Amino acid sequence: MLNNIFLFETKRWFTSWTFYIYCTLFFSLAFLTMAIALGYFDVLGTTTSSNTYANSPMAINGILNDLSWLVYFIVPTVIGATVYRDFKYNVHTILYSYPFTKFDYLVGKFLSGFFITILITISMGFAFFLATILPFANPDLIGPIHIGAYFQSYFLFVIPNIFFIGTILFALVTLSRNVSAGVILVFILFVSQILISSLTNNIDDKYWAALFEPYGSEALSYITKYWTIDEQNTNSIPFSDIVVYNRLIWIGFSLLVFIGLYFSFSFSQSPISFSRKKKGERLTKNNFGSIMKLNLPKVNFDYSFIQNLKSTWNLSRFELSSILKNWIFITILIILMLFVVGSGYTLGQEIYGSKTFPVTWKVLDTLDLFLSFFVFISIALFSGILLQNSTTSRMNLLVDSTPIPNWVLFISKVIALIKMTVLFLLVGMISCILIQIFYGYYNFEFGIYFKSLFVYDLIGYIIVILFAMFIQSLFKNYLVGFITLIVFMLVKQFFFRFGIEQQIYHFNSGSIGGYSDMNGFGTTRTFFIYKAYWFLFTLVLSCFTLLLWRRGIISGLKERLSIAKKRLNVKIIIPMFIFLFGFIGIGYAIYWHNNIMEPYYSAKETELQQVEFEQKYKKFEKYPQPRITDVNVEMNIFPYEYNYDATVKYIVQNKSDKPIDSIFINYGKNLKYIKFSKANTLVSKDTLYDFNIYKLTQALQPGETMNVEFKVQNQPNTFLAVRSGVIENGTFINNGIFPSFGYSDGFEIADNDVRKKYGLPNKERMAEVDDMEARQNTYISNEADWINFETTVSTAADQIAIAPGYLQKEWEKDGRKYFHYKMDQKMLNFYAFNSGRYEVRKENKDGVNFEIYYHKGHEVNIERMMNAMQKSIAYYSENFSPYQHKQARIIEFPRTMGTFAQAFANTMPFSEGFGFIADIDEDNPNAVDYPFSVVSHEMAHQWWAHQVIGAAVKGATLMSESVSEYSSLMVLQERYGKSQMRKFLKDALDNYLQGRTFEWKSENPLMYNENQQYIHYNKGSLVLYAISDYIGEKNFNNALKDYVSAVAFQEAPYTNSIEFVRYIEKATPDSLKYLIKDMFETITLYDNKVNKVTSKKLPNGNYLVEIDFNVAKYRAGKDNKKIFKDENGKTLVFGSGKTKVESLPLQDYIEIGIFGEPTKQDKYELENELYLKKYKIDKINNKVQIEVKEKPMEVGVDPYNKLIDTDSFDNRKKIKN
Amino acid sequence: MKLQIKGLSKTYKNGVKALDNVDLEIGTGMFGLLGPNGAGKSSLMRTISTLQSPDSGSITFGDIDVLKDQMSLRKVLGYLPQEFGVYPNMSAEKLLNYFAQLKGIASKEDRKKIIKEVLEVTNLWDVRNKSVSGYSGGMKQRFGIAQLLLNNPKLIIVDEPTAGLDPAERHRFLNVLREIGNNHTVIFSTHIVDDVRELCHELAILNGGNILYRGTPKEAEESLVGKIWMRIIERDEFDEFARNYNILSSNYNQDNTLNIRVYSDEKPHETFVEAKPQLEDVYFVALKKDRV
Repeated sequence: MLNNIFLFETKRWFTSWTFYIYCTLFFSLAFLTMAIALGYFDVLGTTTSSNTYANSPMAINGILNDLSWLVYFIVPTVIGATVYRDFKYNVHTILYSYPFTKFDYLVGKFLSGFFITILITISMGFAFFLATILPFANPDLIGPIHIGAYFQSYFLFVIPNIFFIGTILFALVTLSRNVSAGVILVFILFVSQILISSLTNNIDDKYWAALFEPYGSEALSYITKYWTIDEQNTNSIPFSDIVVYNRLIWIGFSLLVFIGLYFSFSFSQSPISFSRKKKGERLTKNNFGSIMKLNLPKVNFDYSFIQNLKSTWNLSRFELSSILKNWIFITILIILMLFVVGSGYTLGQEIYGSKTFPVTWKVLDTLDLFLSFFVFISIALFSGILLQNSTTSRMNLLVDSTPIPNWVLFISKVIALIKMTVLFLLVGMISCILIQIFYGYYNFEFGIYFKSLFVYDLIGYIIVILFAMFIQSLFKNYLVGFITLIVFMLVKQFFFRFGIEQQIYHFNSGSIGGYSDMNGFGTTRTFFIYKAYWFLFTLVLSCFTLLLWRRGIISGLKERLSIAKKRLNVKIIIPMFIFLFGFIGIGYAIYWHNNIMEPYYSAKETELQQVEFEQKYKKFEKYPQPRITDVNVEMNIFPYEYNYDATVKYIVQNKSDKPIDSIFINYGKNLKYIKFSKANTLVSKDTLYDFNIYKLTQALQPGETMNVEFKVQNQPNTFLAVRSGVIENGTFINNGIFPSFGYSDGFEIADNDVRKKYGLPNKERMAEVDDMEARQNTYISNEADWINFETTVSTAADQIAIAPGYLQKEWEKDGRKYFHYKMDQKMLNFYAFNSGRYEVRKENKDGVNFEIYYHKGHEVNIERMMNAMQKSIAYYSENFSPYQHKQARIIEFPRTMGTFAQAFANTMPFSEGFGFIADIDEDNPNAVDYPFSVVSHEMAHQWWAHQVIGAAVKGATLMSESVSEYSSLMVLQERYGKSQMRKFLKDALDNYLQGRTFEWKSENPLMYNENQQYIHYNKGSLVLYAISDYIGEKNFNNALKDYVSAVAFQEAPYTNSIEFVRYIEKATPDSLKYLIKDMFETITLYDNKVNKVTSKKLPNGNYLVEIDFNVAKYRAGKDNKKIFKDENGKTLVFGSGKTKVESLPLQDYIEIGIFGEPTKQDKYELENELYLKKYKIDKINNKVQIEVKEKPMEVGVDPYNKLIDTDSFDNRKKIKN
Repeated sequence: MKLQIKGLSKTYKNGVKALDNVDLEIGTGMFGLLGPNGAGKSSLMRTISTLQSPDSGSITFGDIDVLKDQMSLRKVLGYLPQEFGVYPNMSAEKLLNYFAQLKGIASKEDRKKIIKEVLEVTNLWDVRNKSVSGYSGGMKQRFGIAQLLLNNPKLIIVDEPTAGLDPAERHRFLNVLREIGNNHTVIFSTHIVDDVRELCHELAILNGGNILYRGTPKEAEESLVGKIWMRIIERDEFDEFARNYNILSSNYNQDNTLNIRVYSDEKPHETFVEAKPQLEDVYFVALKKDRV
């Protein structure tokens, strides 16, 4: 019988058109996804390039599982509804009297749905496969074809996950007899999956998350998290323990659900309902044969427009109440609230374990993650439900024959949806406030909540509502409309790949830049214009909605259209044309602005321009150009007009040994004029690439100087856009807006695959470390060495303007403020201008002026930053060299310009987005005082960049960023002791290991890094901290001191990492020289591990600890392939088979540590280090015996993660007593 | 006010001619529209109620051109479809308030007043707070009448309202209708001949989209005087009689014999006796003729 049921059901699917629609839909979607990844559409958009293969086993598995989520949304109808369908069509009363068992029935039904779902997902795998073998792909993006990968992915993840989701939905829909309940459950699972991954992000050891996350993706990433590009490309999906356990757990769980269903399902049952049964009441009739008189009271009927408006409002209440009573709505609302509060729990712990105050914009950002998603699905769903409301309850004929105009019905439903949205926003706001209260933060900024949610967000949602109403009005079945809307939103994401780039074509485009305490919401004109444009568009659609409004009985499309034609009268045509003209008018204005006022270049065209620019001008790259020696800037900032202009005077000098006869100027659209003090002619003018060539009548002789003067002024702001970069409060612009000398390779295409396509030679990100030509420039500027700097900055009367240098004079003229700054000594050609309404905190210590320019209300960490500046200067002056300036300034700038800090000469702009609002708990050993450490880092740049500056070759940032990280760690350690080091280094290690998995070119050793952040920050801090620890802080700092005194303020050729490392090598004893090779010259990774540990109490009261541990290391070769053999072919091996461990030969010093019962300090536990010593290790497996005085709890090999270790969790082991 | 229908035709997509050039004039009072299932009654009534558009023809009510000015008709229209539902979990009072708003009753007090009256008329006052979706069939039909009355309609259209009601409910329902019909135009469709006989002073018989008969019940019966004959036959004889005579109807007796009624201009056989024509006979005669 089971067989029959299965076959019958399956046959039914094969003859149903929905099955083929599903297959086609998912096939196309999968094909499209893969085709985009493989560069099918490169003709239309920019060239796709990647160094990972789109069809590697991991990639296939990744996209397959992502797309499977879309399949899960049809599971409620495919698997869930098989039993429900029998109820719906009332077959069950007949069917259940047939002779089959419950088992046959349930299993047969389930299996057929399960089988059909699998077939549908197989269409996706097939689409991937087809996309990879068709000849349209870019062959560089395809790796070898792994048929096995498809099977692995299906059998390990896709099918078990369908089984899991399928059983739950089967049980839910069968018992509740409600398909919508199933769809909502999928939504819940979908969003909770996102939440799970964001929650587990902050957990250190993800073992348990990996074991119990239902879809196996955590388990997989537990294994593959640190996989390098090469591993990602070639390895197959790991069939490891944790993945298998995870799968078994969830298959088991699914079986339990099924068994549960088996026992609770009965053929004669009524659906499960959660409401309480009302008390029974016997009903009798007593209305026999009475005769009455009909005498209706006189009432007034009012069909006026005003009354209709009133009715619209009243009816919207009625419509709203039908939404509010809908339990789907209630579920969505509750889940939204849970999610927001749940995600609020992890809020702001992202920076080295320290919290950020839950300021309003921060909680709003968290809310936004979920809110837009929830509101969109609710609008998409309830627009349909409301439209079909009367039809669904078969009341439509009653309603349709009343004298209520269609527009009243339409607008009342729109208003109801707007009210629903407002309710969501209110709930969102309350959730946000709850988060703030939870963190004890009581500064509720209702104004920001209101503007952000009920003005900016709501406008966008109203546009979505009108759009959704239009789409839904086309369909009789609101689920079809719903899915259409979802698919529309998905397809929208692909527009860009097809070359549809301009905002004007992206439905509901226009967004607010984000809120900044300093600058509010910024300029909103672009937002409002785009929203007006889309609002008018949806109003035009709304006219169609009204024309096509379903009223009465309509037999088909033809009749609908003829009714629409009949409705087409002046009352609707006039507004429709007004909206249409408005829409086209604004649309044309935007189009004109973006395409005609100035030509628009698509991403594809830009790519081609990059190629042409390089081909045309690269030949001038090596022409010597005069170098800037003196800079005098007259900068005028107009914050309230969003304008700037600047008149700049340079003195330039020919520092080469050949005469210079041609000047190459690379400029922006803001250049008004440029003049040279020597006679010249403009020989080539290129306004497309903004590249001009001037020929000097008399060449500039070696050593000769010349004056250059130019003026820049921002392009005028337009109705649509502010084009100056100037903002009302907190302007921050740097000298990048000025024209530059010579050819700059910054515009060139960097990706070698793309370069190959256009026949350009391969390009390294930076020149070789010993390239003498490249060493003529610093990595900061290729048009100057050290400059003399002077500037006058003017701004609005209520603002302070700041630039590098010392304030000479400050005055007011014509309602504007002027500040004259002058630097007393040479500095890098790298400066910025800030202007804002600042509060100022000043202190003078040891002859240095410390100043912090901050936004009112951001006082909380000012002391901390002040302290950090002073402590830094003290440490660096003592250990490296004297501070070259007499002042140090921190200037806050709005988060909308970025979340970073930057160091100019004695001037450090610092974003409001992190340090200023950090909630630092100084006692917490697991939270780094990052405002302190960031300030120390920027202060360190005054030495490591502004005194010592590397040449523009590989490894340059080792001497700036890495050493600054090290320096700030030393200051931090001095202030807080070692406790904060561990958290910092652990995060650095994790970031480094993850960073290398995203490398898009190739990973270089530290001393040859090419400005890669994960190397120069994360690895750099680890390596320098470790070296300093191994050879001694004093010793290491002395090496730095020697290096500084040798190279500080040098002229070209500039120093490189080889010179730097030589100083360190000199300070390193022979026994530790291997560190230089491992850490600077190569990429070397350890895999250290404690295997076993025992401890016993000795008669003398001490404890004897015996530790069995492994030490192993390897080098990463090309494409990060693991290399275990040294140059002489030597290698170490321990064990065999599955437990085989390989290693490079070892002569290494490894720290062994023993820890006792943690000591308490307030509410925090501090580590209690009983023993820590470096051991010399020359083999993989080692055993040591150590006697300690206190009771040991935990041991570790390299317990502080000073070395780079691919799995830092197994470095420590608790002692079982 | 007179309802005038001229040349009304409607053919559905599947080729069924629901209305075939229907001409009809209906004045004040109860008007019965009699016809078998699928005769086009509902199509006609929905078309009059502005819920469906005809392919051709015209409808006027007083000076309202129904097909052009639907809104004006809706203001004076009370319509009860053959089958309807309501929003779930909503009380009669709330729903009526909703309908009262749709029907343009602006003031809250007015709405309250009229809702009270229609609830009392339809004897639903006691259950006004119960949800309508839980009403029994008869109660629901009465609710349908209640909502229909809200705008004090001049033209009332009720489509097969008595189908499925128990006898007491049916009586009560018909009484309410008759009361309304005193000074309004009420069009009432049914396939139950008794309904029309008891209630209507005029009727039309509709089949296959055509009006087969139009007149008063009395005239109709009188037109058949001397043409209806009856006798009792055995069950086995039926086929033979059916072949020879124009049998209108046959009913079983307790003893398994059959009562047959035959239409004939003169006495078909001496065994037949003349019978008093009933409205049912008119109905069957009309349908029979139509088939030929």
